[in-house]
Amino acid sequence: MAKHNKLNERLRSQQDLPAELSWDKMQDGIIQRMPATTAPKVAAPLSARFGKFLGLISVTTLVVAYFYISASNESKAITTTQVTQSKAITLGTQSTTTPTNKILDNKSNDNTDKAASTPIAAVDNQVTAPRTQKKHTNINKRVASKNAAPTSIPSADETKQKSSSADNINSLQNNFATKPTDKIKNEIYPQKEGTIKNSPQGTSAHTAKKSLTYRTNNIQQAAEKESLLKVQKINNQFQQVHRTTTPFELPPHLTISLPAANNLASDTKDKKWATSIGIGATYWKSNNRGDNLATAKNTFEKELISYGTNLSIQYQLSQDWSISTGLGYQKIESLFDYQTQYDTTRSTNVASENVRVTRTVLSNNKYQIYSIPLTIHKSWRVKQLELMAGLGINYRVSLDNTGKTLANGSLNNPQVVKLEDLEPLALSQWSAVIQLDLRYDIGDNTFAGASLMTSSPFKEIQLGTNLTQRPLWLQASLVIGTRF
Amino acid sequence: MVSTEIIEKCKRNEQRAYKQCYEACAPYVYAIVKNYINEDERKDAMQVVFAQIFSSLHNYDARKGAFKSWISQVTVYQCIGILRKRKKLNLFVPFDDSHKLVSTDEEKLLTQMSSEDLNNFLSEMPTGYKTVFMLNIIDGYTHKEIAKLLDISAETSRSQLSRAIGWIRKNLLEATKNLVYG
Repeated sequence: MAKHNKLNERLRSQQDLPAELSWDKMQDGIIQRMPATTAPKVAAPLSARFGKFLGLISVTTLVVAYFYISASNESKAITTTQVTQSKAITLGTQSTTTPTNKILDNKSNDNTDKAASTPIAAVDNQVTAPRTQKKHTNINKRVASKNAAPTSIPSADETKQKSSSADNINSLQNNFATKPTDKIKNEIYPQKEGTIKNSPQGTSAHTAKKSLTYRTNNIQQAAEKESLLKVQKINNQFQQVHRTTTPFELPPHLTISLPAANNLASDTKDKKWATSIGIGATYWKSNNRGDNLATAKNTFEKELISYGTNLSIQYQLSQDWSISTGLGYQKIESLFDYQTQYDTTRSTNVASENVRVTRTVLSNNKYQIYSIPLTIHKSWRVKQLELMAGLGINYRVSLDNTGKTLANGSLNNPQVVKLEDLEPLALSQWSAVIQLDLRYDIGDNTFAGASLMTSSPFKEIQLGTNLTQRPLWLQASLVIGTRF
Repeated sequence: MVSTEIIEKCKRNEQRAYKQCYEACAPYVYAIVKNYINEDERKDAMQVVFAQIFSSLHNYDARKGAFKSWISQVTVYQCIGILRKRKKLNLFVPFDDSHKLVSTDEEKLLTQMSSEDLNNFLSEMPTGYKTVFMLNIIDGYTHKEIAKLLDISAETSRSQLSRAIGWIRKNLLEATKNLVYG
C-alpha cells in the first residue's frame, strides 16, 4: 500500500501514549461521540450509585420495620390476653377475700389474721398468686387440723388451685344444703364461735345458707361495680381485661403491678430532651425559571441523587408537641454536560479562515450546604411507635461550591461560569421545612426510625437577568437517637 | 494487534473490551493522527477516531484485510474529515510541473532521521502539503483517491505533492545539518 515503506515504518512506529490520552481520560469523550445506539452504558457516578444504595437501604429498613412492628403487635396482643386471663383469676380471688373479710369482721370483732379468719378466705386463697401461696397454705393446714371437714365437703387441701373462686363459693353453697347445721356451722365459722354465739340461737341451716347467699350476692355486686369502674380507668388497650375478668374487685396494688399497664408515655414524660443523628439520601430539583437560559440550564444540568447527614436536638414542650433544632450537612451534586457549536476565525501560517468549533463542557457540580433547622412537631403515639409531623424554617448556607453552570446570557450566547464565581449561590437563605418522622422505641431511652423532609427557599435565588432558581430538596434519612 | 475475541466483545458493546482495544491500538492510531493533526487538536481527533472505530466495528470483516490496515484507513479518513470540517486544508495552489516523487537520496536522508526528528520535521510542513504528502507517500493513496478524499482534482493533489517535495528538498539539508552539527 505505502509507496515508501521505510518512511512509513519510521513514522508509524508505535510510541508511548501521552498521559492525557490514557483510556481513563479519553473514555468519556469517546463514548459521548459515539452514536447512542452503539455507545455502551456509562456507569453512574459513584455518588449517584451511593445515593441509590442509601435509598434502597432506607426503603428496605422501612419495610422491615413495618413487618417487625406488625409482628410484635400481634405477639403482644396474644401476651396481653394471656396476662389478663391469669389476672382475672388472681384478682378475682383477692377481691373476694377483702369484702368478705370486711363483712365478717363487722360481725365477729375478731383480731385474728384476716386471711385465716374464714373458710371462704381460706378456700379463696388457694387460688391466689404464688407470692401469697405459702402463707395461705400454712393457714389452710392449721384450719384443717383444727376443724376436720366432712368427707363430702372438699377440704382446703383438696381444692385445686386452678379452680375459680366462684366455683368454690357455689360448691360451698351446695354443700350447705346437704350438711347438718352444726357441721356447716363448724365449717363456716370454725374459729369464730363468738360470732356464731352472737347470731340468733336456733338459726337454721336454711337461714345460714340464705344469709351467706345474700352476703355473697352483695359481695359480687359490689365487686362487679368497682371492677367495672377501675378497669375502665386503666386503658383502652386493656379492655380485654374487662371482658375476660370475672366480676370481682381489682385491688389497686395489683393494678399498678400489671406488666403491660406501664404506659410508655409516662416513661418519656419525665425526659424532655432527645437527640438524634440521621443519614440519608437527598433528591433535589433546581427549578430554574426565566428565559431560554433557564430552559438550557434545566436541559444541560441534571440533578443527581446526593447524600446528607444531620444532628438534631429536640425539646418536649408537652406530651404531643415538641420543638427541634440542630445542624445539617448536604452534599448536593449535579452533572453539567453542555455542548455548543460556534463559528470563529482562525489564522494559520498560510491563511485565515472561518471555522466551526464544537465546545463541550462536562462538569460534576458539587454544592456543600449547611443548614440549621427550627421545627415544631406534633406527635401521635401508638404503643412504641411515634409519628411526628413537623413544620418549620431552615437557615441554609451554601459553601465551597465547585463546578460549572450557565449564567448571564441567552441561549444563543450563553456563558459558562464557575460556581465559585456565582455569588448568589453562596449566599445564605431561609427556607420552609415540612418534616415527617416515624420513630420506634428500641429501648427505654433509645429510638430508631426514618425521616422524610422537604424544603424550599422562601425567596427565589436571582442568578442573572431574568433567571431565577428555587431549588426543592427532598431528603429521606434513617435516624437513631436517645432521650434524656 | 487485537485478538478476534476482543473485537467480538467490542461489537457487543462491552466497555472492558473497548478499553483493551483502545490500549492495544492507541499508540498506532496516535502515530497516524500525529502526522495529520496539529498538537492542540490531537486529543479531540483521537476521541473522534476511536468513536468511529468502535461504532463501525461491525463493518470490519477479518477476511478482507488485517485489523491494523482497517484501523489505519479509518484513522486517515477521520483525520481528513476533521481537517475538511475545520477548513484547514489550503489546497488552492496552481498546478506546478516541477513536481517529482521523492528521490532515493531524499528518502535515504529522511529514513536516517529518528522517528521523533522525522515527525518534528514533517510537522513543520504546511498542512495542505503535508496531508497530500502523507496520503501519497506514506499511506500510499493514489492521486485519484486523494482527489476523492479531499474533494479536489487529481492535478491539485499532484501539485500539492510537488510543493511538499520542494519544501522537503529546501528544508531537509538544513534540518539534517542541524541534526548533525547542532
